[in-house]
Amino acid sequence: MSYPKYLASTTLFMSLVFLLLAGVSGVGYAKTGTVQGKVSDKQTREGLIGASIILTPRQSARTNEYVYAFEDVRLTMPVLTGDDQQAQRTGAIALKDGVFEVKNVRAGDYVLTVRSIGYKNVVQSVTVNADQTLALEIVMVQDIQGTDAVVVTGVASRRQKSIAETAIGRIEAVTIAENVKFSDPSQMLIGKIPGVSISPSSGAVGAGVRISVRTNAGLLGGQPVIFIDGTRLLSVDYYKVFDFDEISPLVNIAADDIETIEVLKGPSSSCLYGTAGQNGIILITTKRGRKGSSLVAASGGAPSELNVHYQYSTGWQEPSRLYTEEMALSFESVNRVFRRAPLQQHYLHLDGRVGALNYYASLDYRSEQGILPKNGMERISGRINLDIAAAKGLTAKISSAIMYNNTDAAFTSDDNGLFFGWLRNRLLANPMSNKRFSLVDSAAIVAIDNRVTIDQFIGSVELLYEPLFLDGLRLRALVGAERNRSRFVTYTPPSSDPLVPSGTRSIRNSYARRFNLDLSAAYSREIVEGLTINALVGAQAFDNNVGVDIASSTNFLTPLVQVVQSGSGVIASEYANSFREAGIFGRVEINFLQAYFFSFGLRNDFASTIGPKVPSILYPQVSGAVRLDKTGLLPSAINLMKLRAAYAESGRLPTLSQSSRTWTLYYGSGSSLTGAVINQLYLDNAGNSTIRPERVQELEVGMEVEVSNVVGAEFTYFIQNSQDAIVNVSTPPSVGLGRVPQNIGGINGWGFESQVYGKIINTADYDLQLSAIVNYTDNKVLNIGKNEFIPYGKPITTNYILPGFRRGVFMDFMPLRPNFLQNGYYDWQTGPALDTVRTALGSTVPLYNGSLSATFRFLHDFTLYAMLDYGLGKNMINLTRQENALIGNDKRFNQLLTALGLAKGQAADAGLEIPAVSGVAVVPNNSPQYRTTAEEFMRLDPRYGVVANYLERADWVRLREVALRWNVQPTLAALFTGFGSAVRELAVGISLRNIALWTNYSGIDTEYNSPGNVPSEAQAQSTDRWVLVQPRVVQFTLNIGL
Amino acid sequence: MLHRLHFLHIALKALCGFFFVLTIGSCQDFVQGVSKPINAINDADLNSEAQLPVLFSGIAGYFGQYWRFASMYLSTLSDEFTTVEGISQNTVFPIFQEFDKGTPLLERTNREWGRLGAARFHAQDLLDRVPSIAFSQDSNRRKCLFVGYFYLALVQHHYAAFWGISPRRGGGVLLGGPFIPSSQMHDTAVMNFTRALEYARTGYERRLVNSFLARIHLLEGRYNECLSTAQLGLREGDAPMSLLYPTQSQNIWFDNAGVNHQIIPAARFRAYIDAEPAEAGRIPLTVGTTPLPSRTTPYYVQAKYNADTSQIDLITWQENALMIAEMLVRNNSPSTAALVEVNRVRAAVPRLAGIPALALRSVTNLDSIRLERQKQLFATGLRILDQRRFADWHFPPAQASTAWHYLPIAENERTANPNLLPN
Repeated sequence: MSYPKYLASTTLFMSLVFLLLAGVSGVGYAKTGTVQGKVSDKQTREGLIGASIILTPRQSARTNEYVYAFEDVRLTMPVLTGDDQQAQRTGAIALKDGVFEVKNVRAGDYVLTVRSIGYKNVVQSVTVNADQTLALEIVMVQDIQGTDAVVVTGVASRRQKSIAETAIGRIEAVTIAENVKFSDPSQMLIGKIPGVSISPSSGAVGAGVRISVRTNAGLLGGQPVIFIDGTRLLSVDYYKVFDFDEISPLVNIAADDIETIEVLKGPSSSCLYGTAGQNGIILITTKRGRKGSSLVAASGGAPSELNVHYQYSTGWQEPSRLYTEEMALSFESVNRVFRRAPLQQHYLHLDGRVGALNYYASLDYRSEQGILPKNGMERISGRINLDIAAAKGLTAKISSAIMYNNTDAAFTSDDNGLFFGWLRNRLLANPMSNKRFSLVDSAAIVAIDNRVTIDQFIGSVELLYEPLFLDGLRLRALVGAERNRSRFVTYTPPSSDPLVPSGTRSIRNSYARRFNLDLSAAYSREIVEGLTINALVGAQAFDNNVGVDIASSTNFLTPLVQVVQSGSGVIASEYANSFREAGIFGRVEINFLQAYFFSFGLRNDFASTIGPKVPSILYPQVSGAVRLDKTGLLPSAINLMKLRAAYAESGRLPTLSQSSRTWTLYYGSGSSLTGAVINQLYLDNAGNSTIRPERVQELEVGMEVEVSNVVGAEFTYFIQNSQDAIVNVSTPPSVGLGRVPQNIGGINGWGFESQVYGKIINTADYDLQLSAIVNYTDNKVLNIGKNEFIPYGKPITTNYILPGFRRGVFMDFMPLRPNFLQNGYYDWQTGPALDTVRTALGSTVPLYNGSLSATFRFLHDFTLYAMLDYGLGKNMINLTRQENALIGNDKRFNQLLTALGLAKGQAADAGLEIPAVSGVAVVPNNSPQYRTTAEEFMRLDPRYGVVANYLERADWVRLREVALRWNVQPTLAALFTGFGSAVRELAVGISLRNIALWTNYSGIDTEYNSPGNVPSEAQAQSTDRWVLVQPRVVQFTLNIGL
Repeated sequence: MLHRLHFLHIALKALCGFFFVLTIGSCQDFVQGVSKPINAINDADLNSEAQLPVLFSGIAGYFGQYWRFASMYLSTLSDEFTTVEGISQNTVFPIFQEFDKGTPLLERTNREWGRLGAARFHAQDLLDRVPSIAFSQDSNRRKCLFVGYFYLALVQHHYAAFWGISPRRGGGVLLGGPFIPSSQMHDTAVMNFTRALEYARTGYERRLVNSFLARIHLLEGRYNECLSTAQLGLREGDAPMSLLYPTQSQNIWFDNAGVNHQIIPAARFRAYIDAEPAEAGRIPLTVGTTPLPSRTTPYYVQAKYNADTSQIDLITWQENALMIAEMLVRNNSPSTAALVEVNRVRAAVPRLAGIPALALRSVTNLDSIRLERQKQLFATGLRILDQRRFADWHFPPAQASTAWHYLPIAENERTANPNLLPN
């Protein structure tokens, strides 16, 4: 591996940064004053602990409106005094009762900005005189939707959401986690952000998720790329384990460590992330050492102090639904397998400051058992985040986490036609049938080990430099790294049960090494009064290396020895994959009078190839917004009305080998003419030297409105279009090339996302906040060139990418009419007459989804929270029921079978050995009623038209989250704990997830996307084949803060 | 101070611009500096003399993968092998039942058709690479050209001889083009075999090519050309051209027509041995091991391929000798000359311990040569050629008119090739 030029440029850049640092020298003496006061809630008059007070010199206030990213860190830093006498930006954090004090403020005119999470910013002009104290009383209005919060608006861009030109999703994870307990961050996103939907792949502990943002713009769909504190992860899971339930890539991340999660929903926002932004970007930011009542103000110079926070949770999981007789006659058998499984979590974090160092450190331990036996997880993670004021104007942010995870993967079923998975084993046990799909002894299943262990490191170092000599210039460099190793072992001991594979062992060791580099330089300047321009340039690079080693063997004589080499038929294989992406970008942002906003930018992306050619693509972006409320045209009651529009492009670069031909070796044969061989040359990829990247375009228009800071709404309509999608087109076999990538695919997507919210009660002791989200997404495949269908996923599902239909549409030959024997009975052997062409039967992705939520604070200290989410227009294929029908485990099928005289021993015995259902009368053959019954029976025929017969609407409403929390008053807290006034926080709560499900689907659960983490396939997979129902999670939580 | 700020301002702007330009080149270098994959070969890396064995392996390998199944299907389609339903406890795969009845689904040949196409592609790819390879010896260049043209011709011969667009219309498809009837395809094969002859480096290679040419002429009814090329073809003592199978890519005959008894030889083969035990030297049979409990009489399975690594002979000097014998008979040449060839073949049949050698013939004619070919070419997939040549079909009347006399050109080709109009 060598990248000399890349290193050279990086080194050069960093050298220049440090040269600039070194160039600043000299120490002087300045005349200073003090600013002090109190920050309080307008409604409750209570002091706002943790509010940040920022003093920006008047002359540079405008140019600094883009630099919030730096203030977050620097506020808690001691100010390293410059050498001139000018005013310079400084600030403080409000302490107990909202009291703040900023010392050593250089005399001059300032713009004072006060910010606090959950409140609108306060901005006012102040003048600080030398040797004087300026006393201020700051009153803040609640910001119920976070419109004044600073959000990421693109690579290296941050600004207030209220002036963002695109729809940005953001959740204050800290606030959400106060009420509801989550296992990992992916659960937090459910129902919280318009345009974002989350689907768990299974009800198993640690199961994967599919994250869908809008319509997933490209032809093959995909999932957003995730960044944690700037470190890029892959959206594709790296723990995928054969046919078993997948494990989420976020499973190791402690939800309590998360500060915010932001979502850039599509190319309009994520264009400058390049190809990575095609399906949106998720930015997870962890907590840092800057919160809490005892933090000292940056300029205060008070002694260092320490925050300690401990949280204990305990509870259980249980199936959120149980099987009923209508689902399977063996329902009692399978329900007996489920269990109420305990869970507990200890979470300890501390943060504070030592000199120029702010720190945040946490330890998290979570033990969680699943609702199936032998499914559970034990997770330990540790995090240290440091902020260092390294030099004048230079701060360093270091984020690091190490994680260890030991998961017993759920063993619901397997797809190898065997019967020893928990659910398949029980669901195929038909109590009514003499046909013996015998139960495997539970002990044989329990004896199977199916365990994955994961070690993971995620970390980043970020340098931020704002030279004191040139106001408005910011330089940023970030290096992120992720390393993980996982080991998956499946061991089946020798067994006498013929249905259980006897003595098999397979090992799958995988590793991932990734690193990413972000460099950017931004410069802001007020060109004329009221007109500010911010320009930024930057580069990103990403290096991804993954590998897997697999070994397996069978036929162990005894469980006393389990190493692979002791078995027979040892098979070993390995796989490694590396790719790199890089891009440069530039963007200009214009702000006129804080009311008109316009931006445009470009990104040029490059990707690795095998061969000399570097595929690259240029993505443009343009966006604008108008704050009508700032124009004076609207009544003052409308505190926010923003119209916005954005157009941008993104795409999908060819994979490593799509642009050039590659070959490989595999088992093969030889000839006497050319010699004996063990393996032979195979054409791996035909390649196409003229392949171009897929280009995705997105246009979004939207508006946000808020009235009297009480109620508001946001709405965004978007259109997405994909052109030149790379499709592997089948060539005639006589050509010998197999599939050849071509730029022929296309898809249109469109939809809207909307949210209405309001805080309809807002008093000191009571408030009620409501929110409703409605999303609509649809798409239509335009072209896939001359190609066969592109079936998704495994062959058992038959959903396709077809021109003229939604992506992943289910299609099948419809049963038209039953066939009858000469004697008038249903002709089971022939089956129904099927249509000769396939009919489109609907897609698996809901047309509508969203949520309703309510937060009710009462008696001042109690908070009740509830959220339900829903999906409409979704389809599931119920293969569980189909297989059950075939063996007589379906109640309705058996009744119809009996009514038609097809049961065992009846006049037209179909030979299924399914006994007649007592109490069901046989319908006279040749009668109209018989025909009607036969037609219903035809639509349950498990052999023909499987998709047509077993694809069902699966609309759902799920009461997803309910929580009750009591924030104990400090005096009581001191009493309860015995720690006196040292107790900063004491809270207890109960949190429930997946409480209830209402659906028109006949199966056990509507949420199942296998394989959950694979971006394209997961898009269309909704196959209920022994689905593990989502667990109902009950947790009791105790929080103590010192 | 202001002057200093202004200077720094300009310097920083220049720095940003410089950084921006520099990064474009760096991005390109960075993405191309990715670790080389260990499971893929860059196309250009094969343009090397050192990689010739690898290039050859692709051609021979695909052909071997194709023929191990195709020869078995052809033997089942012919009257040589039959399915064993009702005899063995083994469940017979539908694919064998279909071939046995002459009614294979078009999708049944997808795999073999694809592999034959891949073999052609690899052969052409080898020829295309020759100008890009720096050869240290001209003999290596000649070998490349010989192997390339030889396999190109061999694939075309197989299209012509064994495949068909409809049950009675033989021929193949090249490069996604239109259907090419057998005789036209064979003309192309002859042209490429003739090119291969130009680059043959040994007498054996020349004789091998001539034997294939002789077979083509035989199938096309050009008996004079058949005789003249066969006389230049493989001779006694020459090794057959064989397909070689390692354990990992086994000769599937051993499994499907041996261990698993999916197909068994027609009863007459056992009768040949009963009549003359020495025939077992070229018709190795063994007793089937999984008869139905109700069955009292044994059944026999082939034992020619008695290991998963058994080679399959693609052409032998014995086939060449029998072509000479047949041509001599057809040319009304003195029968003694034909007899010499027949007896040469019979004398070379491996002698089994304790069993007298195969008796030599004193007279021969077309019928006896046809029989001799049946026995000599046992389990090679070639029997169907003679059935077609002599219109000697075995299908029951109900199937006779619709049964396939070829392997059907695969469904995948029919759906993906716009030039292939249904017939």
